[in-house]
Amino acid sequence: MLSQLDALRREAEEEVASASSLPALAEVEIRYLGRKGALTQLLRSLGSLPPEERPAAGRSVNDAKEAIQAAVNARRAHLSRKELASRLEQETLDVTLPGRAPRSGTFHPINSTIDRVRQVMVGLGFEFVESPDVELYRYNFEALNYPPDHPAMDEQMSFYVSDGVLLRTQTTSAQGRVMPHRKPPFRIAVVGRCYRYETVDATHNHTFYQVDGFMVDRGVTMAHLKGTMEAINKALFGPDVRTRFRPDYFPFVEPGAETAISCVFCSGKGCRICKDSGWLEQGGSGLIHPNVLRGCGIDPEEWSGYAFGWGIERLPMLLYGIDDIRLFYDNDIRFLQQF
Amino acid sequence: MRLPVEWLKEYVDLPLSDAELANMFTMSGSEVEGIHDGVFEVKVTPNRGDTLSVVGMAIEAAALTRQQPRLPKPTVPEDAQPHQPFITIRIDAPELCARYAARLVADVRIGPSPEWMQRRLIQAGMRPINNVVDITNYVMMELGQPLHAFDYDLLASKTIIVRTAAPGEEITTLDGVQRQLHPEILVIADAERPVAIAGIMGGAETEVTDRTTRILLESAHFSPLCIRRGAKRLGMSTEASFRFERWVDPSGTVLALDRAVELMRELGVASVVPGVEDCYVRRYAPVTITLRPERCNAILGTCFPPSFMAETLSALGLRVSGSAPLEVTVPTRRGDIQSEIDLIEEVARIAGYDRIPFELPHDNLIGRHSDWQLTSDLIRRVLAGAGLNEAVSHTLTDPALVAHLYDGTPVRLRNPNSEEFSVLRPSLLPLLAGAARLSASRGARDIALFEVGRIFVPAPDGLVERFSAAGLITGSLMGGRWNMRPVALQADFYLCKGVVEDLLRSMNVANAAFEPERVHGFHPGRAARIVVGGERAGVMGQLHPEVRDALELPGDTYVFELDPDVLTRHANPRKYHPLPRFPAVQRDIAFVVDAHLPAAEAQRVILDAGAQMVESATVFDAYQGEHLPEGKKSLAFSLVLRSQTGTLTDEAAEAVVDRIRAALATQLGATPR
Repeated sequence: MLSQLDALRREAEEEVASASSLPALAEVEIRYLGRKGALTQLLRSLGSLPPEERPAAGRSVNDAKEAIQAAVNARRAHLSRKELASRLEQETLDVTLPGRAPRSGTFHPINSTIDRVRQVMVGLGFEFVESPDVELYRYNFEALNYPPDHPAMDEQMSFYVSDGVLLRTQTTSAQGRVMPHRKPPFRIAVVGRCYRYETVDATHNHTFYQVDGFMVDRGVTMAHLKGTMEAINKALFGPDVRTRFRPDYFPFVEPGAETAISCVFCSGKGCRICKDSGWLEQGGSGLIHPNVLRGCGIDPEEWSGYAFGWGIERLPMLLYGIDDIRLFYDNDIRFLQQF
Repeated sequence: MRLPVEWLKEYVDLPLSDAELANMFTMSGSEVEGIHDGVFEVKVTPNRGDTLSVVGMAIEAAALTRQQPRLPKPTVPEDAQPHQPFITIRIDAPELCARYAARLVADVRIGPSPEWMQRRLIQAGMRPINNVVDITNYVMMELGQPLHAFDYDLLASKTIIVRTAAPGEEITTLDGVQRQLHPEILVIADAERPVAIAGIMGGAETEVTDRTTRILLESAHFSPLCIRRGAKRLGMSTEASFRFERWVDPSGTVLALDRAVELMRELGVASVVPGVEDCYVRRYAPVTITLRPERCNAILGTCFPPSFMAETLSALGLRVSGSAPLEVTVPTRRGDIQSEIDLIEEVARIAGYDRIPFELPHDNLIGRHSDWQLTSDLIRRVLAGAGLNEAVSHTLTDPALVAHLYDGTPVRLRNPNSEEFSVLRPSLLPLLAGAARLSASRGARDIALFEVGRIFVPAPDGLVERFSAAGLITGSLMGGRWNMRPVALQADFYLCKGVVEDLLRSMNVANAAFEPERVHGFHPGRAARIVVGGERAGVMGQLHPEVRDALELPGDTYVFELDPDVLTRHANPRKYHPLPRFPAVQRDIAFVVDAHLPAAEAQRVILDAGAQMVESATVFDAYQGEHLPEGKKSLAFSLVLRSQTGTLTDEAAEAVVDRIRAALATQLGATPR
């Protein structure tokens, strides 16, 4: 009987090993281990043995049964893995087909630029305020020390809404609105649209964005203006950028200055973009004119302040190589989706 | 101003290259914008009328290089005896004309001016005319004082009257244009009529011609404001008016006359009649200003010694005495220097701004974004995240475009420069529609835009400036993807509403109601106002097909516009809700109601009937058509039921659903589906 058992076991193991599919394996399993299987039959026939041989024979049959079961399980795991592998093979996708998630929207390059400028200026302790686009002549010019009908207004031709009401030509108009209601020290910034009566071409628009910053405290100097502008520019353009100041005239500041940064394309060596000067003009700045402070109820002998402003559009134009300022306001979807 | 460098070097030694010289001027406030064949294009700031001449620039250059300039000192042969009066000058408007002087020349021989003079004038941007005109222009370029030449024999009664124009007076100017004068305009008249518009242009009737034998040369100081207003009123700008507007030295009036007649004599153009008629009615004296050296350093952030300040100001031709403080006397040439701060700027300007250090202020001021910027940032982030592209459109726009989506009258500019940019946008929607039109005209079909910005709403006393947030979607948010079901993220009312709801959720605005409304320019059955806390917070809907077609949009277009201020006012503070401790039970119910019944109404009934047990009731199907009676629709809701006190049994859940079914039947006449 033991020799019969060994043969049966070898035979079963061979069949398990050669079962090539899960159903074929199941069939083999039933044939040997099922209720009517060969091993089960053999177990039943143990009764015909002498009682003293029964335990050993029973152990042998059970050992063989477990061995076959183990072989079946191993084979099943192997076949399952193989089957899964072949199914996955069939599920292969063309990974070069494009993705299909909804595309996220974009931010306008002017606003992205403003976001950056805001981040830098808030970091330097500027408090942003809002100031109206539709402004009084009084705040746009008078409070800023423009004498009536002065030639300095030639560059600030205005659109009028009604008598004494115009579209601000510079965000500097916020000074006269803020300063009378604040006790120094303060450091304020404002960013927004300005409007000038100009004919529109690739580099000029009747509407543009400006950012202005100003602070008043005891002992504010030209050196503080220079240090602040330099810090802003280094934050915006990198630690190697240089900031240059040269005298210029704006009625609301004195000393007045024009700021320029070393050309970000040629590092100041001279190129097409900076017209070989090595410098890119940035905007106007200076110390707040004593007349402006006095007009806002601030004693210029006790307090002093700086002010600066510059146009926003130039930055994304330089940064992205945009050669026509009108593109910003066309909102061609093909333009917007590039940013 | 065009500045010939070779001419400049006649008055001051400048052993510098053109580039170095240009840089020196630029860094001291007279920006050299270009260099062409030895000519600088100088941008003169409006406060510096004194540098609108070669000599003016020479004085600057001399100060910057610490030299004495060689200024012209014309010599004119004069008689020992008092001269015969040749003209009577009367200034009727002394506040507009402080000084008027004249000289007479005879034996005039009109002809071309010498080649060297013509060359300099051409370099300076002026066209040579004849020797007389060229000499007046030459002296203006050299000294900054505009001159005018009259044909002496054509002046009635040999009288010059400086007065404002009488109402109705006219004059034909040298350019042949007949001009209507105005009492605000200052004129030079003879005994009978205006013969020149003061400081702007001479008259044709007394013009110097080939037949002229005697010339009266005029040199004057006019009020800058008067000349500017006159020139603006007449729409004229001349070399003369440009200078008078920016200050011409009242002490240089006679010098310029002398220089002109010196040149005429030297060049054989005319002989000089001795004597100057000089009517100086309102005298300018040099002003003396105190400069505190410590104040100067406190403003500049420098440590300049007082002696350095004195030296710097002296180099500019200012007279300095004392040391602490400095007493500085300013020549009348420098009309721009009126107070201490002006002197401080001069010190910094001539010393060079590069000598001021870079420093950061030391203080405890804290930076922050404005409230509006923070709100705007949130809205922009959500809308861009939803797949919309941010637009920045003009404030100024076309009333015809506005009319499509706004039924009021937008605020109009008084002086628009074109109809296309003549009104202030009262809403962002027309601008977004205009942008979509432009993109569509260039072939785009899938367009999704938003803008956050200011609008200008007409009001009884002018306008109100408000913030707004708007969006527009046409086509698909998934356009251009392969094998997509056609409806996937296709713009429709509910996609648009979903974007709005997403924004409201992000702003933590709860309980917004979408109520049907007729909106100008919208589809009458597909428009809603959005109401939050009883306040109108905006509109949304589909554009009217006629508007869509008028704007040549590629397909049905959906828009929304919200008032961020209202939303912010009703935004709830963010608060954490504890996560539920007991499991939820899900049940679906479907029922048939009248087709006109708003789904929101059914939802309200469900929530009311379910009391605290219904956590949410969400529509998952709305159907109308086949298999349903006419005028009916089926709604299916997915309910999430949950008890706060224990695990809900099936029986308890069923009881809640039964209560809901009963409420739907009695309140809305709903029948089970």
